[in-house]
Amino acid sequence: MPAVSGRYSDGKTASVLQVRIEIRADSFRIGGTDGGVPTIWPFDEIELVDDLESNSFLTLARTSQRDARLTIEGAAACAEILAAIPALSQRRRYPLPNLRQAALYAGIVAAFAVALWFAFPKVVDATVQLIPRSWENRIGETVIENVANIFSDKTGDQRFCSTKDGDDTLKLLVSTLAGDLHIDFHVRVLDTPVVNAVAAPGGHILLFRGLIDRADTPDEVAGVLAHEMAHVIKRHSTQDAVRQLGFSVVLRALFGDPGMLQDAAESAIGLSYSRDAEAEADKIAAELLADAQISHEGLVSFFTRLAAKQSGQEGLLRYLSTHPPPADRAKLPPPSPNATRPSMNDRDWERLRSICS
Amino acid sequence: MPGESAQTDAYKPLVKSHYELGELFKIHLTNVLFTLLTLGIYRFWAKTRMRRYLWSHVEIEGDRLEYTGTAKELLFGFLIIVAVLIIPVLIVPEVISLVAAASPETQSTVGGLQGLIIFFLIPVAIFRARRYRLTRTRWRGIRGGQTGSSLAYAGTSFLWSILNVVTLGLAIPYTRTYLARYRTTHTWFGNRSMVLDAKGRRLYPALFVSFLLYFAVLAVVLALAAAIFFPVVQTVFEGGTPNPEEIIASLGTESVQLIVVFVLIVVFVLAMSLFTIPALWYAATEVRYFASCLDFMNLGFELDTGRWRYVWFVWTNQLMALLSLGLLLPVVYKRYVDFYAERFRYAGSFSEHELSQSELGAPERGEGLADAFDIGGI
Repeated sequence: MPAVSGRYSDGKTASVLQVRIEIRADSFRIGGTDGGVPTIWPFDEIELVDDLESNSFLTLARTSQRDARLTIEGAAACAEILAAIPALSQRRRYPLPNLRQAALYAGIVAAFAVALWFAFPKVVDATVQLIPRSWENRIGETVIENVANIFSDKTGDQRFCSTKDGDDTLKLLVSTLAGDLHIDFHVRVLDTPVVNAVAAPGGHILLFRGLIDRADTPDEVAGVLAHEMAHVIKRHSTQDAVRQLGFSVVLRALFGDPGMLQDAAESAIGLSYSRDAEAEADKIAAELLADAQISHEGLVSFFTRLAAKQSGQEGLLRYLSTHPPPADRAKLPPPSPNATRPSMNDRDWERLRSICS
Repeated sequence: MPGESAQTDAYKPLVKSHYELGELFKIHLTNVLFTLLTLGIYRFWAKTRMRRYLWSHVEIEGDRLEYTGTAKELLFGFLIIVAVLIIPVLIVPEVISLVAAASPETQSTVGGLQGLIIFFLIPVAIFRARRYRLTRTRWRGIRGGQTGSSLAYAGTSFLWSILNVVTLGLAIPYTRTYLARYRTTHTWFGNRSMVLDAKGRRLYPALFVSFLLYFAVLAVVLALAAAIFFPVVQTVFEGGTPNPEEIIASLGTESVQLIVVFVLIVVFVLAMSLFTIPALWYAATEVRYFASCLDFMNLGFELDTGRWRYVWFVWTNQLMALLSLGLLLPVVYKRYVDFYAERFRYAGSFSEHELSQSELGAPERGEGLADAFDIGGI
């Protein structure tokens, strides 16, 4: 009867015995164990413990004796064992990393992701519809508060410019542009040299002083204001907030703490959304202006000038900017010949320009 | 000390390494590839695959370690953590603060609370992950295990942290020794637990030396910055205010810009990593001391390394992992185990028949919390 030598531990203590393993028709007879009484390991109870990557080293276990181990060393001995139990490589105690299983779970995740990809905008829209205007208003106030704190070094109401005449001018301009829309717009001017404007949830709009200072014509300010009002009408910033929240829920459910991945995904996807949103806002702004019979040339010229200034940032920095480059902006048709009304008269324009003094 | 050399001679290596770089890279690169392809889901299988290799290629007293964990345990451990922890702690407060449009003060309070909870949970995660790994480790069929409570561990760790903030780090030796003692004395193999008879006060000299080292590193880095960086900036932009964008733009094509930015990042990381050296010097003293205080079944242990050799070993390992973005981790694993195979030794006679099977329970699922916070390395 063929026999090989090996090492045996019974799993009760860490002692190890040098043993002689007799290979029988359907079992191993392991001699010298258990105080001299041999242990019988039937082939159909034998499992493989190691990964079989070397052909000169084998560790075996037994299903009905879970903690015991039998180790065989040497190429010839291992070959004899494998020849005795050909199915051994299929009988592993611990499953090898299972590509099929991983692929299955990855497939579920991918299907989920695809469904989400299509359903996500609709879910976001539906959620936005569910948010009461009063909540939106409070969210907007928080956003404005944060923006004002970032861009202004003053505190409280000091951060915003206000004169009676300037406020009246602004109100008049807003109501001209709003026409018969039933939306409350809260437009304020932030005292900062930065050239920018922000639309927050709940109809809150901030015009930065720098924008009014740098505008060549009143129509440019009116154009930018119409653009921000269009964001409010379409509730773009509320959508933004809901979308970001949705993303963080999904990513965290997938990855735990996604860290940098989340920032990258948010800015990449946010960017594509923000381009669409900007184009949509341009289109609606042009309609608002047309309804008020104001030319949208000011809107176009202002953004073109801004873009020319930023073109130095092509390359690396371009990807960091949330505002679309000129080529990505909506191609607006030329203004209608009826759009001849000035957005403000000279006196009102002067009043708005001096709102911060 | 008389008899010391005789004692050193009696120490013999505890572990033998069978790691091969080729095999490690094969596993690692496959893991990275599949993890990317499956949007991260494969990482549980990847970890299991790697651990299977890492465990089974360590030999102790002629027999290999066995890793018995499965990917499914890790996956379900993670899913449960997502359900019971990540959503309530990380997501719900975000939703509430947004919807309720909380004032900036309330928001920062919520953020601070979240931070505190996470800070508290990290030691919980570490302790629980240890329990999982120990119960999934076998040698000659005998299982490891861990007693003690992860909440107690995290609680004391939290209190010690407060003390360290108040005393500007003066309690570090007591803190770290206490926590190491807690971990070690609750670590079991079979029916035996380990003992760490270490005293925190013995590490104060090392703490003070590492404080001094810290100031030395600070001085060197500042001097280098002053000597190299500022003159360069001055000559390039004489008179003008240096503007980072202009500097980058003046370098020419985009690829050149990228290379320069990359080199600058590497230099920055290298300079910053110098600041870890004082802590590593302390850690070197500590690890040698702890090794000498370790007791398992009346065996004595030692880690035979000079402090600076240990500092160099860990520092280069960290940099390699960091700068290669994890690609060179197989080299790090191999260096790590080779280091301990060569230098971690034991003395005394091991009574193997007295080490019997563990009767401690084992968790059903794996280290979800540690995975969620991305701690624990391998």
